[in-house]
Amino acid sequence: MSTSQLALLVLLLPLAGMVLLAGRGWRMPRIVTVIVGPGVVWASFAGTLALFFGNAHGDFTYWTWIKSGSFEVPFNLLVDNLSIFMCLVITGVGALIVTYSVGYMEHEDGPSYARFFTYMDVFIFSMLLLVLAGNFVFLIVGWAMVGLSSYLLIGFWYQRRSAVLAARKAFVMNVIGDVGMILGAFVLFVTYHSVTYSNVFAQLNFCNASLGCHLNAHVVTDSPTLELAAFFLLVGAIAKSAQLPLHTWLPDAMEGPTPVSALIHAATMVTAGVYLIGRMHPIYDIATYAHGTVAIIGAVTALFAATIAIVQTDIKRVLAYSTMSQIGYMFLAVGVGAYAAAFFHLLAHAFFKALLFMAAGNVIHALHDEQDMRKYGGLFRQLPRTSWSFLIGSLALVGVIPLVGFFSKEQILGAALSKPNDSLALAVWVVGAATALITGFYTGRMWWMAFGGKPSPERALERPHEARLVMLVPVMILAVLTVVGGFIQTRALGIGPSAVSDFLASVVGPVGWEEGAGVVVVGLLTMVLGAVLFLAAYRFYVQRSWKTWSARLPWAQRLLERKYYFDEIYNAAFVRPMDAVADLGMRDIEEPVLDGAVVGAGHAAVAGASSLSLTQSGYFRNYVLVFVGGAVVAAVLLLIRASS
Amino acid sequence: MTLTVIWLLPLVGSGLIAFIPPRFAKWLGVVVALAALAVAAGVAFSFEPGYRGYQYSEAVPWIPQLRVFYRLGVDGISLWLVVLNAFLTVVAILATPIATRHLNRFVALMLAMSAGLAGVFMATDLVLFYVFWEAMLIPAYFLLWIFGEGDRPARAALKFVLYTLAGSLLMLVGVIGEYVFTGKQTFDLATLATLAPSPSIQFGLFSVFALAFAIKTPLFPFHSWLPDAYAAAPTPMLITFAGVMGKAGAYGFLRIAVPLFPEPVGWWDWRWVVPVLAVAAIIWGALMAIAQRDMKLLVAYSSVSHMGFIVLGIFSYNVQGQQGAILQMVNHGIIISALFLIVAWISDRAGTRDRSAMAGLAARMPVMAGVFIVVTLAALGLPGLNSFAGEFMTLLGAWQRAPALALFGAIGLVLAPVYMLRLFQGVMQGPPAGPVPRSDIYIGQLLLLAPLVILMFVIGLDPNALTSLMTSLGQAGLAR
Repeated sequence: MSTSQLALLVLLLPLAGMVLLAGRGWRMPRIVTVIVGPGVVWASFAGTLALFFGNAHGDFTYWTWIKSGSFEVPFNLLVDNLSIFMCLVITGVGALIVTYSVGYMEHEDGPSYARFFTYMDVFIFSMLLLVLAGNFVFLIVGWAMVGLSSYLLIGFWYQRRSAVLAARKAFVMNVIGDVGMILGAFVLFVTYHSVTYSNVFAQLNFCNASLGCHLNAHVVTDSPTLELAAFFLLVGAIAKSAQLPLHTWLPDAMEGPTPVSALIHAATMVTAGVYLIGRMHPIYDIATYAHGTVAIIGAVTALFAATIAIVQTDIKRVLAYSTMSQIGYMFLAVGVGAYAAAFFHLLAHAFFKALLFMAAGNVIHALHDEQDMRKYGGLFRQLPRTSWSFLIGSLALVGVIPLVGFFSKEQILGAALSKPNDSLALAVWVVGAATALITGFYTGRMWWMAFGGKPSPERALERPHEARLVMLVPVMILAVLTVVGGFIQTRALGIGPSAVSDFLASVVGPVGWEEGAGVVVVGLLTMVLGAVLFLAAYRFYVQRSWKTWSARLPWAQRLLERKYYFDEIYNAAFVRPMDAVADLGMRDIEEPVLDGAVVGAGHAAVAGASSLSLTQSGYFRNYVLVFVGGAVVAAVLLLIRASS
Repeated sequence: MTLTVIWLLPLVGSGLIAFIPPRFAKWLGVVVALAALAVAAGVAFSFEPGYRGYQYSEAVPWIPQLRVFYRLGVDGISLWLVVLNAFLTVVAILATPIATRHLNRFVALMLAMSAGLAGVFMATDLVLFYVFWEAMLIPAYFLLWIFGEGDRPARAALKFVLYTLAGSLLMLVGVIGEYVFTGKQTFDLATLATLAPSPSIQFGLFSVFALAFAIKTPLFPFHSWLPDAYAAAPTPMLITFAGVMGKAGAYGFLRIAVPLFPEPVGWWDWRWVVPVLAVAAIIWGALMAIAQRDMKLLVAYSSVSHMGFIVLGIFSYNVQGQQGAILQMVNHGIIISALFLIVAWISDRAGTRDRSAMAGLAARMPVMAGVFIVVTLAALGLPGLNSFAGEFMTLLGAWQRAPALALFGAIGLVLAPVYMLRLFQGVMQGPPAGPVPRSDIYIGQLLLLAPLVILMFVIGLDPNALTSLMTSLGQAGLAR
């Protein structure tokens, strides 16, 4: 099988699963869903592995989607190390999570169960399309399709009003991002007369074997145009990755089933923004203002989300804000040009955050859908395997050596700190390091509240049961990956391998500067401080001394609990005015003015008809001028009446 | 002769069906409509891409003294509209309930309207175009008047006809003006496209033509006949009324207003006024849809918004925008038909058109919900389904003309999911409330929707199948 066929197969397998499940699956026995749903994702993972080990690369065109003048869009897939890397994450972590769902969703009835796996397979297909697309139009198609699957899965329990609203909010905010992407593609098409990556990048002086392009003699690097394109694309990236200020949909997205949160709202879809900026690095390398903005947005979001995570009591919401915060780190990294470090963190985060969500899912499942951590407590002894896994994930989130989170996060911070002659990078390092400390604290709080101490008196069950094997094994596999994954890239310590960076160097280039020994020491210091704060949280939450703190700073508590009032501000600034304008327009303009003008138009028509009947006589030539003049006057009068 | 068959066949069928017993009317109507569709499809299959000028041309002197000819022809602009009209006529007649009173007359009027529309899309002589333009109004009036729903269908019918007449009678003045001022004394569209009077004359002539087309489309602020007429129209009629007749206005812009008057500049420049109105239509239509609780009116206003994209594409004056506009005319015809059908079926089952009076219907009609979400997504322009290609191209065209037009037009893309999802989610999702529907969608209804839904996917995956035949659009003015 040729590489082009294999790539298409990897993409289409999940789609085939979706078609099967949507068409007949819900009428077939449950076992069909159990096999087909995760099966196609595993098959797709196998295909991706074949691409990986086959050292595949190339830009394959399958058909012409549209051709209109100079606007020509092929359906082409770009197979290079970056897309293979992303496919490995999507199908690998995806397969584990979809398998886990077999157990987690067991209480759903037949049709609903099949519907869940249908949506999951649609998501995997869309996400693969997003990363494999070789042109901007199909990037947008994948981009919007993951938004759709996210919408469908957030609103999976569609009889819950809150889920329906959360789904709509996520969809609309993602469409804002899609529009940004579309406008970005317009700018690039007008400037470079093409929408394929290979043609656009060739004109930006960037080529490699996979793109198969030749450097264009005349390189267009008009930076205002590129800045505009880069800012438009950034709108898409921040909407999808829930970065400020388009982040408010992500916490609400936790209305979806927990495996959805693990797969879409932690491991894969929300990192699409990072992929986008990494993929578009030839643009961002030139568009320096947009590039700097990426770093600033990332750093601010990291800190912002971490502070909110301190006061959340819903375990999934804590994880959601921590996801925003960790993606902020990835934005920070791509923003300072440390692309490879960002992708390493993307991989690490996929491991430990999927682990955390699924372990949390086990707890939620065991406690009959209770998500409030104040009603947990003392789970450590009762759910030992889940607790150990959650602890490993938590420590990786804090960045404790030698877990994967340490190596990836410290590499990002190290890259920012050691970037030569760059005050912006230094500033974002300060914010990033501060965030690392807060991360230690809120993660500790989460851990101690849920698992430490004694069972809460409000807990629904005295003796919860550990999850089934199908839900435990994927969690434990991810726990193992979290422990050993860091050893493929230990550059944060200044020594050892750098497998991820080397693999991606052909696409995103190497990190162009070296970290000194001083930076390593600083990194270790932040890690130790973060770990200390993790332990310190014990005092605050198990011994409950936090109540005195929040009583002392009530405004801070409220500000964080209300999430800095973003939802309120957006409602007041956009949603309510939109509805008000619509209602007002209907009542005061549409009906009285525009409809009122019809009466006038009717009279004009009658008058016009009787006078024009003269023209039927045949002797009209002399009158034509008069008529034309009259017609123009009538037209103008109508216009004025209609628009007054 | 082929093209003559396409409009004459439904007309003859219409005359026949009006006088046969109602119980045969529907099926004979379907046969006639299918025959017309077969001929139209044959024309599309044998259509030669890349050929400049009209194909299947017919020309017979009609009023020789005035050099009026009976001229028909199809090119890249009209081909797909002829096919769309024939196709949706079949769907519309199939969708007609057997229980309709005076079924034979209803089917006959539907076929007559379809014949008039086919003529509009195929006429290449200005007078002939005008005749068909007015002719299609007559069956539309009677359909609304006799078969209309609601309290006062006669009033809606009269309002629609008078408003449209106001525009089209002025267009007659324009037709005559064209004959006089171009100096060649011809009504042949191909010839007229090569002759342009002075800008100030163009300004006047453009004004009268544009008014007629703007009312028909309808373009903001000339759309106020639409809510009444669409609310009154019976659902099968809406399929051709909203699905095809609205396109006649946009087609007129593309066929006549743009190529015949390349520089309509006088007191102001029409080339900028119309696209600004189109953007206003996109946003205003969307806002009015947001304000609507009546499901049928919501869909009607969404149509105003979508037609705005089409007009915006036409007035981008570039090939992407104009091909996108044609593509979008076809897409919108397919989507709006499906939407009106679904909304009608849901209201039948729930007993009301008020979307706020029901919720959570998906529990009782899961299949309906499944079809509805696909159509909803197509309507809000989800990439991968048909509308995306058209909207993308029209906005790309607009961006190349003036980025601000595309920027404001794109607001429509953000508002579309607001009103479409409020409709879908409000009716189908949430805790069940309100009336309990009697049944899920019937098999027959599902089969009727199937071709529409399949086309949404097919055109979404391969829009090039349509645009590749628009390569050479026959008229010199198109890609100006």
